[in-house]
Amino acid sequence: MKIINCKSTSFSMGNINDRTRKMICSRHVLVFGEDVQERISDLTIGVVSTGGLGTGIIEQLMRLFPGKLIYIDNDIVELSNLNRLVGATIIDSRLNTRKVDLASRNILAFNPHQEIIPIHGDFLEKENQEQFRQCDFIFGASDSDAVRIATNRLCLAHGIAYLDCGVGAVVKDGQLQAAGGQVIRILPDSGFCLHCSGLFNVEHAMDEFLSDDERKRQEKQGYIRGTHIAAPQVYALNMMVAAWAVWAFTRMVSGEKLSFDGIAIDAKGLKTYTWKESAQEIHDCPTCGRNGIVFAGDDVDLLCRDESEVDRGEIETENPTNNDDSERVSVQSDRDMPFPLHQGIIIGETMDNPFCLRLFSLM
Amino acid sequence: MNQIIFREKDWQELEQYLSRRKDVESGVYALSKTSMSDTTNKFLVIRLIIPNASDYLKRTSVRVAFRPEFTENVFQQCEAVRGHLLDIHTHPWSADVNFSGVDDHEAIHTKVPYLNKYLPDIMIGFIVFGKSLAIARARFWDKKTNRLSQIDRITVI
Repeated sequence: MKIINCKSTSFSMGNINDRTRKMICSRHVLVFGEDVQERISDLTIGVVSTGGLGTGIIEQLMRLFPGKLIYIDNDIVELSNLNRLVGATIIDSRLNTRKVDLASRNILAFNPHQEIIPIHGDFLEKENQEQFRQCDFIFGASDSDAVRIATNRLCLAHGIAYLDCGVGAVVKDGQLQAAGGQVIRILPDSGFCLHCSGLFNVEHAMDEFLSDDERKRQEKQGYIRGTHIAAPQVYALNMMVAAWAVWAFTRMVSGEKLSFDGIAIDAKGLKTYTWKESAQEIHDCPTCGRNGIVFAGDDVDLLCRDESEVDRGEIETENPTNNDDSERVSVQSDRDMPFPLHQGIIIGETMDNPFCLRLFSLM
Repeated sequence: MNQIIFREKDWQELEQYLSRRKDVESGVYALSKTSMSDTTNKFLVIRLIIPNASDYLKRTSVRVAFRPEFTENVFQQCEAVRGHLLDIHTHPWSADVNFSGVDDHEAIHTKVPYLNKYLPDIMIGFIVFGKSLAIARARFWDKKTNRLSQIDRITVI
């Protein structure tokens, strides 16, 4: 066991017995081929957030014997998570097991020799995000728009292939309106990214970049709504999206040129769609555009909480009690924002990820 | 893990150029940024500088060299973007490619000392491709250890 820092533990015990590994891999090698398996076993793969979706992704990734798995979450297992966290038991909720420890337990039970770096912490903290720079692939499985936009930036700047995954369901008056998810593939030459495509909610992201104290203060003053809204969640939805993401990953590693940028799963209609973003010819996105930060590497700062807090103090009114999103936009200053406000879309309060709905509306 | 990462469109351009001539060696420069961490050194290719035929000083089946004015221009571009340099060439007959004695000598006794003396902020890496771009060796001058370190992987994303 090798300790990387106080928040991270690395287990490196060499490779699993080669014969055993070959036996375990023998069936999927029939699908992918030996060379793809070797490539996967040489990759460092990150999973951002080990909730229902993240543990689903890890469950499938670990069976492919990747070189190294790095994953992060700052949460603990609760009773309300047990319906969707892979491997979680009622005892975990009683013991307040950390979600990353649950993921580690699942992985090491399957392969005690898997090299892992679990991080119990916040992705928006610089020292944690730095760990993910070594990744070849990152699966984004967070429901936080701030984390998603930070991952987007990290991946484009440091040459990491990014699969942004999300799951959601919308229920209105007890009726299921929409359910499903998406996998968005973001690469340096995609011609779009989360930043310029409006694929995340700027307002939510800005709120999430605030420190805990500042967020509480603003919630109290009515500038932002409470962040603990229970979202409808189903294990099957998570695993559906996780499966598509890991499958897309294997196709990418095999060198196949995928003709789409996203996969949208309409679970209510039992349909799957692929989707291609139309890249703009004159592309001025500050992240992926011609003057953006693609492949800028060490020259650019990561998007971290301490460096991107928004000062809303100067625009406070005397009695700010209005919780309406549109009103909130009108009183907000974009002076210190790490990305422009106009990119935002505000959809569905109960959605884990607004892109889901946006896709459905296009179909 | 040391690796060089290309964008798909740059890789295609590189492949197209380097596979054009099989009778003589070909050379290209690439500018890169770096992403260095405790465990990984990445060279992120941001621009290819493909020479014209007239930019070659010598181009045979065993050697490739560029005119000084071309190389100087490459250095200037590299400085302008605050990047690092990748010196790429081919051994077009080679099925199991490796750097030659000439390559070693030029790297250690000419290119690295020149850059260290005149452009100390620029790091330099080297790639040699064989018969195809699927066959390659790569290395870079590691300023921490003052020696050539192997690049483990070239990735195209």
